[in-house]
Amino acid sequence: MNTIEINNVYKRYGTTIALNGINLSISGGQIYGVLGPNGSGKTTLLKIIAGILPASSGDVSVNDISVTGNPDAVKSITGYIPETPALYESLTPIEYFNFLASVFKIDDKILKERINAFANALEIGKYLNEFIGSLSFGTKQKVAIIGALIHDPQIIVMDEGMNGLDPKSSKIIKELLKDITRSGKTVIFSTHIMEIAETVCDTISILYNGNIAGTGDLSQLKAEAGSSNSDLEGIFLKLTGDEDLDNLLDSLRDSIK
Amino acid sequence: MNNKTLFLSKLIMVEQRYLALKDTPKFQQNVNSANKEAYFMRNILMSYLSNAVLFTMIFLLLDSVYFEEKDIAALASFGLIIFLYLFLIGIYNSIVFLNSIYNNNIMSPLKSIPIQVNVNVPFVSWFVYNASSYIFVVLPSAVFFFILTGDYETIFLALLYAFLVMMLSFIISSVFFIYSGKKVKKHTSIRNVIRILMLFVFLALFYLLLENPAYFGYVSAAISSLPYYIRVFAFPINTEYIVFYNYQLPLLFRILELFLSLLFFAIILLIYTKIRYKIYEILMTSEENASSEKIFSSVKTHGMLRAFLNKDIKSTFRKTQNLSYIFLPVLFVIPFFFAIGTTSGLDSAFFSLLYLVEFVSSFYAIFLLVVEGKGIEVLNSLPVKKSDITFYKSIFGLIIFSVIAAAFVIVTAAIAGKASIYDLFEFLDVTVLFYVIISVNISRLLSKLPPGTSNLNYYSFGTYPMLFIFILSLILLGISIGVAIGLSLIVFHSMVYYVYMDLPVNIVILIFMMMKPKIFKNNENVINSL
Repeated sequence: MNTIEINNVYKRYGTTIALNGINLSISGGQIYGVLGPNGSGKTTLLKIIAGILPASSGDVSVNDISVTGNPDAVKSITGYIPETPALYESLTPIEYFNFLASVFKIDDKILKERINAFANALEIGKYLNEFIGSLSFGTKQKVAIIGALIHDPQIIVMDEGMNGLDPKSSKIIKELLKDITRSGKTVIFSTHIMEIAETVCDTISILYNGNIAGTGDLSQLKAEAGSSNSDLEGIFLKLTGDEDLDNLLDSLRDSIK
Repeated sequence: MNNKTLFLSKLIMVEQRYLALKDTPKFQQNVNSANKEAYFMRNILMSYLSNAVLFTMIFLLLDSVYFEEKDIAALASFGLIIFLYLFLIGIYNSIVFLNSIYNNNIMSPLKSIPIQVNVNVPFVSWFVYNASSYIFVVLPSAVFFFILTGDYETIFLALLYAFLVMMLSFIISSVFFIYSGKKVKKHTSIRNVIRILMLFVFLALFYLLLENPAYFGYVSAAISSLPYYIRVFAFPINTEYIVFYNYQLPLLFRILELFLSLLFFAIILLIYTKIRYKIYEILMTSEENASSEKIFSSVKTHGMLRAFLNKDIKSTFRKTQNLSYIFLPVLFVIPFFFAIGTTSGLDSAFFSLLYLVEFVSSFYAIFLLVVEGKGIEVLNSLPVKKSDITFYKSIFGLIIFSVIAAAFVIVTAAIAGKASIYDLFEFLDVTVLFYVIISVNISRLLSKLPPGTSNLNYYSFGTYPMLFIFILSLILLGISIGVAIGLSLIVFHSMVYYVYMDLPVNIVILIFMMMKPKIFKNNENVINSL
């Protein structure tokens, strides 16, 4: 079982504090959701977990491997899907997967099987030999997802990973993520979409202004927010202090009249 | 030029800098949302002023030699060289600018806002906020000439022709871009290479036309031996004649040449008005330039080196714009190369190869990283050490350099009319030297990248990456040659064997680098260093 320990992680950008001493323990075999409004520090936290961005202080360990001390070891068992697909636009998806597979030393036969399986499931078979630069945003996102999963990682870090996906692909990815966690792997998932978080995530942390505003499954969050009848959206708004939207809406309505 | 055009031109430049600098610690530390634009405007202004001051100082020093000697002819000849330099810098700089705007889709979002974007915005942005600073390279010559001759028109004409040369360079880059940019993904690598080679052969021939046989000291003689109408009419070869020798002419001719200059201005303006819509269209629709061309590749993995080489070769050779960077440095070396045989007492062929090492190792170090673009985020997420990236990139650079250097050596041998083992020795020496220098350069550049960088362009390494790397290369080159000359003096009591001593020196440096990888100082583990 994979475990991720986040110990007192701070991240500062100049005078701005993006993460303010985050402490989390994420046990394996679950989909862990990180929710938060824009600018709350979700992407920063996910990048630190994936070893892409250094923390200003504190540490993250994955299966007792320190991300600070040995980022390459962590990266070799992690698949990272960024918010907007960062890909080599002059390559075709096949060439891109070949490159990644070469880095992760995947056998050609296994690679072929994985590409076929993913391409069929996400219906991108007909784009495999086209330049990535010519693909639509959604198709690029699918390529990025396949690229992140191609080496069968133990930890999957998805930053708004469902962006741009059609409903069918989104459903497939959600089911796939659930299957992945059944084998003890961990998925850390950030999203703005409450419905996805509610249906997919086993545990949710709500990040607000670089701090953890609440952590737990839906029932624990309800208890923490003190609103047993609320849905996740209501809990989110309550924990992030934005629950009183009526005044804002009234003011907005007035201004556009 | 109205305020809106100037505002949008500024906006483009600010956005370009933002994309490059947003990940840097300095930016993150110093900027809050309130003063972002002021920060970038300050950055742009400082770059501009630094360029202007730096170029003025350098060319003031270079020109002062002829000024001290009151050598008007040499000052005028050097003036022509400066205009040619300005022309090449203009081409290089405008290609970098257009590529950056195009690849980052900087202008295309303007489509969605309800304003009419002036078609001159790309040129104005490039010229006003960047390229006009290069015009300062001609000022020292013009001022010295004015002091010596009292001809104030020289200053006016020098500025006018500097503007014309810059505009011409923008036009050439735009034509190149129009020809290559819009269809960038519709051509295979081989066809791209042929197209680029043809363009560069054309540029090289043009260059040769200006340079050969007129390596510096012979320029005046060569120009004066040309028919009168070429000396006066062939722009930009006429800069020496019109800008500098104008003072010798009777008033009527001076007025006529002034009109002629204005005619050139009108012609260049006319050509510009013909192409500005095309370049504007391409830049405004850069995100829609998709191609449905298919490249059938099989599922096949390779070793890391080959995988990286495959990736970089495809990223480079499939984009005509990227290919242009591969051949650009060669243009800067051609004038030195054709000086072979004109300098006495030195092995000018070897020195031409050293110029090649200097220019190519500096250009390629930056280019080979910039070619990653948004792919740098992929690299950041992979378990690949920075020293490995340095190695793979350096090998790619070495392969291309070897081809160029081999061509130079072969042509040199052909000019000399004989080939010897010495040529092979020279070739091996410069390839080892190139590998050493480009490795250090790439490594240094990687160390300047802020952690978590999500996009790479020419400004990502700081304000003056080219100058920084150029000086670094020069220092390394100096160390190598200096040690070789020293050894030659110690062992043979003569410096003539320094070429033979240079190869062992470079091999020792290479072995030292391989045994002491920390020399790269590229913080293998960036996180540890923070």
